[in-house]
Amino acid sequence: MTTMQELSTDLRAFVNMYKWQRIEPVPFAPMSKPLSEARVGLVVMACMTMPDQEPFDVGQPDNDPSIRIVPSDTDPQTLVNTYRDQGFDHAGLAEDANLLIPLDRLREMAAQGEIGELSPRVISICGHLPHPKALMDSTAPAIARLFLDDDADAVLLVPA
Amino acid sequence: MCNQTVGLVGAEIERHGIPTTTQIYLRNVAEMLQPPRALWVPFAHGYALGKPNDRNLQLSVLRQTFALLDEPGPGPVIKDYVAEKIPIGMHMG
Repeated sequence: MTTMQELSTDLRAFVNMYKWQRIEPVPFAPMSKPLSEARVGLVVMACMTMPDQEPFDVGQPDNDPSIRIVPSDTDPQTLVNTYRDQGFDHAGLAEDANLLIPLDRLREMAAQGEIGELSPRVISICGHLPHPKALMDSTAPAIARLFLDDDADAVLLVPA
Repeated sequence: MCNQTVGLVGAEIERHGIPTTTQIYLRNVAEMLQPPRALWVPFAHGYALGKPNDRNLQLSVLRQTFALLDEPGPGPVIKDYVAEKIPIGMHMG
């Protein structure tokens, strides 16, 4: 369980000192159809790439706000972890990528009729973006337009 | 940081008319940030869906995350993950 007390001293200090963004007003789009009929998009935050894609440039001071597009029929275990920081424990991800890129679970839910289907393009980004201006100005709108182009009815985001 | 990033990206997708849902690790950050819909999960960073190779737990987290899509607005809708008793050997299908 992650509580503030259980974070490392450095991370707890960061959480307390950081000027968190506040979303105001809060946008809230309704579902247009039942989840069982919905095309579901996926955004994952763990800096994962396809083996033939350029790694995220995680050496930048503000990290890398670019995206990688991953086909939704990909085996998540074949993705490459390009994030080496200790912002989170990577052991679980190495053992089972579905913890952060739940493509197998979502395909199972689609097969069982719990969701309609997966949107064809999964978006992979690096969630560690302490200076989110580029994220908000460019990356997030581009992600939204991509899901509009793919006719997604709902989007799941999974933090790292 | 990803607690904030999921909220900011989700909000932009919602502004384009598509509903979103997510997990979040730090409830106090969620309350400051106000993502449209978020399920607080009692797991460490790096373990959004619970435990590696625990298919039933992962599905449970996903189902509760998706259930937020049925919540009436307005946002933010922030709920806590409720642990379920999953019978040993239970499988889908």
